[in-house]
Amino acid sequence: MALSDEQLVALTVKGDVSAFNDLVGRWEGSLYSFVYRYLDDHEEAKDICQEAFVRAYTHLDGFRGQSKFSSWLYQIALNLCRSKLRRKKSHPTVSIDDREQANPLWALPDTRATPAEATLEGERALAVREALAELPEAQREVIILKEYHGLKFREIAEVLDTPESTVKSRLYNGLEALARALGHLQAEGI
Amino acid sequence: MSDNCEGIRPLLAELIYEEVDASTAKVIYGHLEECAACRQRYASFRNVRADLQEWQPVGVPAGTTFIGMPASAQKASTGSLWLRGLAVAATFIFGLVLTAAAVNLQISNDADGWTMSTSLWGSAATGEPVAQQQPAATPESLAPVNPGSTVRPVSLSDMDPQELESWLDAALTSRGMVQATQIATVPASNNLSPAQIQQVNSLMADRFNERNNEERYMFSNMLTASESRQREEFNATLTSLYEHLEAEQEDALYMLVSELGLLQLDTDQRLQHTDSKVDYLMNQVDSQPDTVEREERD
Repeated sequence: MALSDEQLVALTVKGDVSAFNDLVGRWEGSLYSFVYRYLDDHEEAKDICQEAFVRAYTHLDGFRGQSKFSSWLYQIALNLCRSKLRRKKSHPTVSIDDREQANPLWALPDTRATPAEATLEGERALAVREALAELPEAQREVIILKEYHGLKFREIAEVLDTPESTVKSRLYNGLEALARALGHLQAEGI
Repeated sequence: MSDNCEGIRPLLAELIYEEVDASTAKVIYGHLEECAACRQRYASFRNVRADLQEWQPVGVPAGTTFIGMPASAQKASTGSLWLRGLAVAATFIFGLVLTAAAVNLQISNDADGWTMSTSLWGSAATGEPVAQQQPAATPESLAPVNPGSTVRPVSLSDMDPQELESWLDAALTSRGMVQATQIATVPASNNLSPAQIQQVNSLMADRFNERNNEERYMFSNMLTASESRQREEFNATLTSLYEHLEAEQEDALYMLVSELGLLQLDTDQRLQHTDSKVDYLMNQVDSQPDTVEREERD
């Protein structure tokens, strides 16, 4: 019978190296999916996930088990994502086209979805991605955690460290904004 | 939009994710049957959920492996303490050797072409420590820094003012301000005339001022950049704080509207209940005189 997350955490704290690797194997898919949907960039998502696991390992002593291990892990990844976006905002980069013209060495591969990938996903999926990307961060976090990870309102509140009522209002506002962006709801009059 | 809609709408999101209790769900469905606008909003939320599912599940890219713990922690679990200490010491010594070799790397160009040599202690030719090679302000000190170079020793007293200026620039570049000044202005070692000493001093002062101005300009630029960065970060923090406060306000308003709506709904239901009771009682009262009259007749 597979050990629970909490049991694996306890074993890791006692020095069992493989226990933490089991936790990584168990959660890497979900965590990667969450971070990728949040940042919409494969390379950045990989970096953030790796850093999240390292941080989780180094701070495992501080995990008191008041919340689920997965919530704690999402929380770490979310904080890293937010920092990443803040850094991007405060230090805006030069457009890639300009850089490439100035110096071909800057012509790094674009790790976002290629047009071919986008076609495979379908136009509707692309519209969803764009609509999600346009949402305020607070609403996007809630919608991703709720829709794609099936977390309960209480669990999302734990991850975001915010009241449950706030989570609910962000979900409602987020859905309303998405409904407008995706054409299911008129901008005014309803 | 009826008054009830205000209370019902915030609950629609909870309903489509099936996180409302049965009694609340019953109230919401009851309202949806009567209210076309809310019914349409509910349908639009369901459509949004269907659209969201169009974005396929995202898996970890092939070939990606996440390391469960920092490399240092993995080593700690496999190596003994003294072995790790030995490895650190060896790395440190190797680093020192590489640094010494890089510092004393000499490249020169002569009739035989380009040559490159290096040594650990400062001189590729003799292997003598650097300290022993340092000039003691003698004419030999005017020899180039690197013995491998083809530049010949010179005497400052033989130079015309232009040559002297060129030499000073070269000396400043290769030996630094203090040493170049010391070499150039010790009369006993260089046999400089008072006029030459004055020229050297004047040139040195010019160079010193030039460098000073360059450094001041550089620091001024750095300071400006730092101030600008701090201002940007401050503005970003303020914006973030403002957004946070705005979101909090919005949440509070949402809660208030939601509570008021539910209260309104509850009050309406109670009023309806009371109305029906009153109607019932009125009917009862209305039917009373007939009964009394009938009894009286009987």
